[in-house]
Amino acid sequence: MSVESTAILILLSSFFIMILLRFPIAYVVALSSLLTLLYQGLPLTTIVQQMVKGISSYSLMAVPFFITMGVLMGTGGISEKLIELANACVGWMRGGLAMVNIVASYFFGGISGSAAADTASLGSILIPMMVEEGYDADFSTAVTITSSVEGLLVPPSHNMVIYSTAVGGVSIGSLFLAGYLPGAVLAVSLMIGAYIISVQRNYPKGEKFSMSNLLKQLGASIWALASVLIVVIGVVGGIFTATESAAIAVIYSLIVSVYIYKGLDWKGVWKALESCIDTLSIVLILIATSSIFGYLLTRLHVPSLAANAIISFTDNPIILSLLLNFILLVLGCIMDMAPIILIAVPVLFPIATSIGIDPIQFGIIVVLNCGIGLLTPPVGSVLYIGTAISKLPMERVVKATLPFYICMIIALLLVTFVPAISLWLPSLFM
Amino acid sequence: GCGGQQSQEGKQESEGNSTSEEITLVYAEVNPPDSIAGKTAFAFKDKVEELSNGQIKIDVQASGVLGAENDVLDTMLGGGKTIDMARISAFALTSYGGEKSMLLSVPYTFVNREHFWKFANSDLASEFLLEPHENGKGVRGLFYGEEGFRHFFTVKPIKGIEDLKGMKLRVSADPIMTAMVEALGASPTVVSFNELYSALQTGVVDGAEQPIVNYKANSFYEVAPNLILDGHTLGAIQVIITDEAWDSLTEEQQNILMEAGKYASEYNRKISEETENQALDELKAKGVNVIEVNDITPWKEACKDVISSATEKYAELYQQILDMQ
Amino acid sequence: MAGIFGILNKIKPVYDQIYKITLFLCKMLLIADILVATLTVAGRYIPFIPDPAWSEEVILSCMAYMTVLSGALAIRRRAHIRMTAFDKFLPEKLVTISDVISDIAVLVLAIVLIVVGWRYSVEIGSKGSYVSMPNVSRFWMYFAVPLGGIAMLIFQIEVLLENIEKLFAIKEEI
Ligand code: NA
Ligand code: NA
Repeated sequence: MSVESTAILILLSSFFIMILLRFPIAYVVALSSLLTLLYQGLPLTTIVQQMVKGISSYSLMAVPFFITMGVLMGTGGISEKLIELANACVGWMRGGLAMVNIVASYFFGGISGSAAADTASLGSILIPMMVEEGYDADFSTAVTITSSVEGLLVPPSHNMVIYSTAVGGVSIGSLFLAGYLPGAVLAVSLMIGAYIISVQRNYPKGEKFSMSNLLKQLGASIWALASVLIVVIGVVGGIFTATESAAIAVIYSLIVSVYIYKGLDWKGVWKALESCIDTLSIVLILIATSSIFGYLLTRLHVPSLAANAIISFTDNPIILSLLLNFILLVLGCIMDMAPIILIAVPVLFPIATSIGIDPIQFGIIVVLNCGIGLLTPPVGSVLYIGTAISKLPMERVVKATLPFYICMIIALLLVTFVPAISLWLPSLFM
Repeated sequence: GCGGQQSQEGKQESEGNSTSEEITLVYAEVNPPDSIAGKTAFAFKDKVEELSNGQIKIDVQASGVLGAENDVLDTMLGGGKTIDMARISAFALTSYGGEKSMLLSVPYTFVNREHFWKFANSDLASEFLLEPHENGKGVRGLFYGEEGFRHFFTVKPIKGIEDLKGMKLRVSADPIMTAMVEALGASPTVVSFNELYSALQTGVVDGAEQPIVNYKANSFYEVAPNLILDGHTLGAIQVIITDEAWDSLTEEQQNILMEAGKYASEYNRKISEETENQALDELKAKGVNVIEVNDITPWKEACKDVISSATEKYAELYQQILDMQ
Repeated sequence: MAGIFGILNKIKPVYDQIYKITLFLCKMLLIADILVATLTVAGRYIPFIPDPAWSEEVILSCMAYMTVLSGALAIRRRAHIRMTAFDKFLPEKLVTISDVISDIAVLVLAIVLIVVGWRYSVEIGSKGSYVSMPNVSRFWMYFAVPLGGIAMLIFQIEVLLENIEKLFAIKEEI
């Protein structure tokens, strides 16, 4: 066996063994990388360097900001108003808040373009909200994290930009347009799943819909609603970027909580920050250390090895399409999106086009696959953000997510085998 | 470097390979393989492997998978043996004490490509390449290349320098670039490269600057279709190698790298011009509004103070570069 | 064993204080990040507010410090995500033994981060500066790692001692 394959074996096997031994996952990724570096005779400084690099990502900044916003909204009275408004809108429907969660991600995720930011923002508002209304915490978390993947498909999405670079300049405008319908397909598929579960578990269903109540709640929650609007208008209107919008949202919820709803005083704000740090303490270090692990997988050429493995497998287009998805899903389990797109996609792209998949459609397929990977253990940042917000054991969240993985796979198959879902909109406008 | 050591081990384990010990050098490239810099990397790789009969392998890791420029430099300078070689922008060395290389990114230094290449083939250029090694940074330059001139592009139509006034322009955080944008009457705006397309689309920024080929490859023309060819700086690039990797090579192997470097450098010059012209034609065909700058004097004049304060310390050297045109 | 028990009681108030201070630092870093990001936006539109080029690098460095320090806090709260699915099927003693092994492994990692992190920070610090702030050494970008290592080490020692104590307690019950 060559040095490289032994190194890969050491990296992956020590990783899984330590996870089974119940080591904290944040440190498992660092420790298995440490062992691999020692075996390869490479300097351990790589760990230091990659930890800092992993956390020094500008778009990641939105995560702590949005979590802070959510905590302030929850303790300062904004969330309460939003719950009442949401109930007035969809309370009549079983699983109404789950639907709100899924639809909100379509729009809000479309603003941030990042599943992590979407989970951090909507999750820290909606998970506590849903729990308060009688939904199970694990179900609420599962709905939140899976629907956040819509945000990767609905433009703007910087992962589409990365894909465009990786395959040598597909029109980003077309890719952006192509994402709307697949995002909607995913949303509908998740809504059906959520509805079935809501009926099974007998989740709350409130009073009949009343227009006058809706208008009353709309009036009462105007300041709360503005917190969401500020982000949307600010980003769409070009006043600030998605990442910056997160900081603005914090300041806004602070002002509304302290001076308008008066649910918080400054002492309360200081105390609420502790709860932010509690959540961040779990998530950020995981993201930092995962970066070491991802770096080693990259340096050991794992994505291209995996991609090459399927090339000579078969020439049946349907099986090849399935294999393309499979390999992307497997890589998604252990790696973050960007390195998969950058390394595996150039290998997979020629196969995809050779069986007639359009470059634009393939972009959607890749992003959706990698998006599902963000929700799977052992390496899945969005799963861990959801877990940290809900304060549940990871296994319970994964278990509750199982039915939604199926919804996502159905959406994935539709997107893979029905090109029009991706290509119809770009064909109209571009 | 590490690569050498690593494949020696590899050789001991994989039997039946009868050639003498193989060396693998890991080469980090931020841009994708089909970019100018990416193609240059592969030209260098092929030439090295050809000249050494496959004894030296270059493992090109493109698309920035080993990190952005500063990450790569930190790894190489901090004794991290995971990267042996890298292609960097000449000005990237500025924040690592590479003061001479900084002169190459001073606005309006090179009047045209020929000017740059005259410099690149001069003794002065070789001196610049060795500067980081002599300063004890532990890396040395092997050869030069370029990605073409960098130009501004804007969302709103633009005719000349006067239209830049008051615009929010995205540049990198590099102090010279920021000062230049201010000198042109615009306001430098911090937006990460990741968010640039969206920032142009929504209007967070009014424009940005990139070499033509990057402008096209990142689809920026879709949202900012006005390209003004002011050519404020030339995207000068250097390929560097760690001292550790360099010293692990025999003299013969070092010569192979130098020779392949010379080849890659010439190759770069050829494709850079070709690719750029082709990209410009394609952009025009796509309806991009390309504005020629016939008289660069007002731009130069506006940046006079920026230029003189940036070159103060090496005024004499800078003059030598200017005189090469 | 009685010795460990005594130590634990004695050091607990000290640990409470260290925890409080670290938490305070984390909160301040978070506040700094939010303020600088807001300043960036404000500075773009309000002429007398600066829109500094250093904002991005400062925000990211604060975040790095917040990451490693808060990560250490989670050790004390035993809040880090781990596989606990099979815990209820395993004997308590086995679980505690595995906890102790994991504690020791994390201690080793903390020491590596301190030693290697310090060496690297010094090494790279002497060679480079922040891009937007030529006067600030790159040392500060990486110093987060050894500092975080120290915090990890401190909090992990307490957790290890507690787990060892628990291990002995289980033994005595048998
Ligand atoms: Na959601
Ligand atoms: Na995953």
